[in-house]
Amino acid sequence: MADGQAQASTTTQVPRRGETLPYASNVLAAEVILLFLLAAVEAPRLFFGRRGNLTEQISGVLICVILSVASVFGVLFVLLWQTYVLRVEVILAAIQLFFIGMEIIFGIISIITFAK
Amino acid sequence: MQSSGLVPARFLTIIAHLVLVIVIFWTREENIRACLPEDYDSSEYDDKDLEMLIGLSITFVFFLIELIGFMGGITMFMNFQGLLSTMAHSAAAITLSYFLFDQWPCEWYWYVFGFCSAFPAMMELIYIIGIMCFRKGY
Repeated sequence: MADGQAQASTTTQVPRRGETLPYASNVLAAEVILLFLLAAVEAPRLFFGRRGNLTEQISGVLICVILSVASVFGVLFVLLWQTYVLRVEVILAAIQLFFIGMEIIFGIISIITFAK
Repeated sequence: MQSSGLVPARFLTIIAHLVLVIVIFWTREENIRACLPEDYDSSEYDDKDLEMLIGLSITFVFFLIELIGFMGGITMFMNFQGLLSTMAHSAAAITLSYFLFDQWPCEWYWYVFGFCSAFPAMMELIYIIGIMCFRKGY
């Protein structure tokens, strides 16, 4: 959940960046769509992770870990492969990567625990 | 159990303060130049730079203490420490935004450091020692 909150701040900055930074013609729309795709992957990931953890079943946490791997690529896009990477975004994306990494580790530990 | 909303608020203010401190760490030039006289030489600059560096590094250590206590669950649900931490870090986040954008002189950072970094971290340390060593709270 922590990285979901960290990512919401990036999404809210979209109008300002579209206005003040010079983008090539179709690139801004593609980046915004990718950002919304990242949010769309994060939402079911968090839902399944929370439900799987509370009900102590493997299936939810397994879906969460698989979606976390996809989220890592999304966050790597924000960190490295965007057209303009702001300094604040580097810091926020790094914190987000740290939390996703922790969630993957703890997800695997909980899968092992629940399987017993 | 009713979720009170204090835990996410505390987390968000700690992260906001942390992000601002990291940004100030990267762009501390302008703040140092704001507190030196017009004709400064590089040794004065280096002295002030070292001061800011030490202050910011100790701030990171305090953040580590606070994050270990909070994310490790030790003081996550203690309402008094949560309230103190939220108020201190939100004040720090606002003040450091002004520090960054208005290019305040570097000495003023020490006030933010004292009230909003050192004080919650010391309280956190006292709580952690109390819980781990003296079994307070449970």
